[in-house]
Amino acid sequence: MVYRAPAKPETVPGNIRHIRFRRNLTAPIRFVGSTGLFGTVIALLAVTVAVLVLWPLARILYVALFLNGHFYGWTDIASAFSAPGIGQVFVNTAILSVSSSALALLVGGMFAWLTQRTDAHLGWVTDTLPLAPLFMPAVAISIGWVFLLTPGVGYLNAAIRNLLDLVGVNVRTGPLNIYSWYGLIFVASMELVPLAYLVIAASLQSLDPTLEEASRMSGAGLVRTICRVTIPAIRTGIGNAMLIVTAASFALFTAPEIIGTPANIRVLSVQIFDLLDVSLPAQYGQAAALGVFMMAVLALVWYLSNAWRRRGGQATIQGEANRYSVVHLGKLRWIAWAFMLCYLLCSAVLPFLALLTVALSPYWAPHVRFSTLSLQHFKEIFAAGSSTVSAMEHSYALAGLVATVGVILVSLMLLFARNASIRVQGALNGVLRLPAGMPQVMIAIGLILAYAGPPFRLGGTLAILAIAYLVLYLPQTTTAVASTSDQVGQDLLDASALSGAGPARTYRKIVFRLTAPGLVAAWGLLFALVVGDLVASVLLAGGNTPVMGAVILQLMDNGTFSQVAALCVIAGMSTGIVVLISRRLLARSFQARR
Amino acid sequence: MDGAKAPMREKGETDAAKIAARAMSAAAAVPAIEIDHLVKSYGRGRHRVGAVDDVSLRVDQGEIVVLVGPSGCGKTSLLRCVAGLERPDGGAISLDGRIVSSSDTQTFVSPNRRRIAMMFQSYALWPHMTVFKNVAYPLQSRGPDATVKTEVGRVLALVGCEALGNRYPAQLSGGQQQRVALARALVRGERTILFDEPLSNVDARMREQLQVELIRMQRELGFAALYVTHDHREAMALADRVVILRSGAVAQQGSPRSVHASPASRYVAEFIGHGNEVRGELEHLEAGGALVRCALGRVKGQLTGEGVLSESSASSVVAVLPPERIEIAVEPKTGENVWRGQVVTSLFLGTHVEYVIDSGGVLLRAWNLSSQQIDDGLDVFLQINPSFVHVFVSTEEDPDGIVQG
Repeated sequence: MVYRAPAKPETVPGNIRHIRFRRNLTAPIRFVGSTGLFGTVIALLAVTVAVLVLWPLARILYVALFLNGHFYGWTDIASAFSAPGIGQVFVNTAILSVSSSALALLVGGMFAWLTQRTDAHLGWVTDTLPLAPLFMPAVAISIGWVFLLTPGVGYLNAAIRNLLDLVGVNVRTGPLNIYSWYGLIFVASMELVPLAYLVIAASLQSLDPTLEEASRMSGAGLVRTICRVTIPAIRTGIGNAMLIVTAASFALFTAPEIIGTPANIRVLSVQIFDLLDVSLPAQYGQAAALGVFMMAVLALVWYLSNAWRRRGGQATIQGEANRYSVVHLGKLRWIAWAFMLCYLLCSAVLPFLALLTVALSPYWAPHVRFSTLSLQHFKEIFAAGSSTVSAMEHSYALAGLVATVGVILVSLMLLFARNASIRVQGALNGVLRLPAGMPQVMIAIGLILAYAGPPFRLGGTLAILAIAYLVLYLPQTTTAVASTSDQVGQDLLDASALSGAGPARTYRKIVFRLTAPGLVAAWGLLFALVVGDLVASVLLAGGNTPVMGAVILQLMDNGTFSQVAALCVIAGMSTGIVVLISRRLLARSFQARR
Repeated sequence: MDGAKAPMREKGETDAAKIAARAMSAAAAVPAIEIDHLVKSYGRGRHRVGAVDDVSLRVDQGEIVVLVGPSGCGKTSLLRCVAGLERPDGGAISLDGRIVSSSDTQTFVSPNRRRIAMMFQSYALWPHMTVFKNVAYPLQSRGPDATVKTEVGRVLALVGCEALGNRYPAQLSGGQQQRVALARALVRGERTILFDEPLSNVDARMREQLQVELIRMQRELGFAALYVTHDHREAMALADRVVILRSGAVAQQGSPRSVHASPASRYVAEFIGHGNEVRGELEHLEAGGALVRCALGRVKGQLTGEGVLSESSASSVVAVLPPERIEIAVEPKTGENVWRGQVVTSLFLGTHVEYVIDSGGVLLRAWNLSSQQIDDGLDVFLQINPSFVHVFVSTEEDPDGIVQG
């Protein structure tokens, strides 16, 4: 017997076209019916988040171009771009951006290679070490380095001077000065290394190690393999990292504000900030104009990044995954570890020690007299009723709340996006990552314009701060949660569905349980980011709602260094412990098992 | 099947009779799976790829139907549409008479509401749960714990994994994991189970063992199965009915024996392992047979199915010679389909020896079960019974010789 496929009736194509048309009309109803209550709720949440992110953006664009209903835009744009010294500001921004990203990529790339491809890998220790700058708030690291390398009073400078005295060289001040281009670039790069490391390491992790093995088997040495095989093979990842890091460097604020401004190096983000915080009245129009320009540049960078990424071409692991092609460094390992230790010292230990010393000393002086150390300043900042105590209460409460809500929200949305059409996925990803394409200052402006006044009137409340933190750190949350939920194979979800479990049960029993450690790590990250936030805190905190970032900057401007130091120590310790514990939990989870 | 049937029948017909008998007794019962004009494609615009192209199919109660074909032929897409993990673009699917997906009436029942179970290629055991919890998962919404415990225990015993209840999947071997996955699929007692290449990740020996166990379990429990594989041997071994797919459409379906004996096209013949293909020209047509002129010489074979061939136009044809039917001898042979050749090389495969023989410039593979060793370079004689040779039409528009009516 022979089977013949049934003759295709001419009407079938027509039928299909007809049916697709009908489907579109009834799509929303079908959607609710087919995804059930759980799916609908998530969809609503997604829409809410989209509105939270996009509405401020819309307001900014509106204000930048139209003020009070008239097309005022041009005056503001003109003033913004013709402000005195604006040309230098653009140049400075470009220089800082390029140099700090280059340095960050070099260091981050080296770390990525060391931890992913050599036997200098020491488990979770070396995996977490490059992320050291994330343990402490960026503001604490910057201030710590100020305490270390201020020309006259810096601890490190004093120590170097003493050393030089021993060899007979007499130097009065310095020799190093944090308030300089190299000081600024040094600290700025440290802020960027974790990002560079994460992107390049992810690239290397999924790279098929047999490519390098084939190169070694063909007689190529280590260096040649790296140059001819490894780097070209992950050039997509490197290119991606370059663009992401450059975009981040463009929007840097903390280091330029703390270190650049006293050094008379102004960059664009600080310029915009000053238009809002320092100028009276706040120049929203001008700030918006400059901000839109920044966003345009960032948009270009993101567009290039996407185009580059779509070129694809990275050879990923086939079949048996997670076999490392390990390069044996032998004795050279010690150099690698020394380098890592140096990095840890610079990015976390030294700044923290400096902060601790200043916090425990009666006043900031280059020489430490141990007899005079006391907890006096800590008592001061914890004094009941002081602005510092309320700042701490607010910051930690907000951090806990925003971290919890943010992580669960993003986790639900990513799950929803999995089964949605490509377009919905793209839109959702776009919305979740959009804040990364806007400088923090811009987001703060947008939130002020959108929610501070009528009809929401959230200005000066904790609510607007909460929204700000949520929106600001959405991209980081998404990256952290996505990397963990991506590891849940679709098969595991399909099997749950075919076992009779609806989407809610699948989320509770499978997705949440499996991703819990990763969610905890993401929670820790978000917690640290909120506690250490500077821009939104300063711009949005009201008199009744101080938060740590705002208070730290205030005290720094007033010169009350000891209290600043004490606050930074508390902040640094709390975030450091939270991040370390949460990452350790992740390391011991199912997902980390190789 | 009752003994009143005539005893002397060809093997292929016996299978057909078996299926017919089952179908007749099941005629009152609805089919376990019914697929009607299913269409599924991916991508948009220029990049639109048709995965399933108007396929109609049914699986009766208690029947194993195997979908087989090379990668990209649409078998997994078809299975996932039946499971509800993909939405078809057109057509309808019913399970046990209940429509679960239909483009006409805009119905779609989500996978967790369909009364079917599934086994996955990657086992899909949840790593954070013990074996017991994994198997008990489908029973979550049911009765008290005592019932769950007995059910799980029963089904674990069925697959031979009673002792593994407290272990985690990562602590099990591949074969054990697959058994647990099967237990999970069976625990709710569903009448229909889908299999998505479950034995592809298992090593060869374990695979054969599990195939036998699967068949045994299916006969015992009587569930209907839609099974997807890319391995034609596995398909033939497991199937009551095998469906060979090509580019989203059904190339042939039937019992394994009938497909093997009468492949409908060169594609099917090649897919099920009739390796030797010789192109030539039609010289002469006889009743149900054809004489082909080719590099070997003259080949006489069968036209399986209706052919549109005429002697007047010298049509190009393809003759397919199953290697297991070619007889090799050192002594000269006479008769139809006899050719001389030289042994190029041989492969010792344990159960038989496969010889590669050069005859008239054509390389033929032939299996020899005898223990007689034929050295390389020796002259041999090949013969094959014309009833085992299949001849297909080969044209430029239709190079794969799908026999047209």
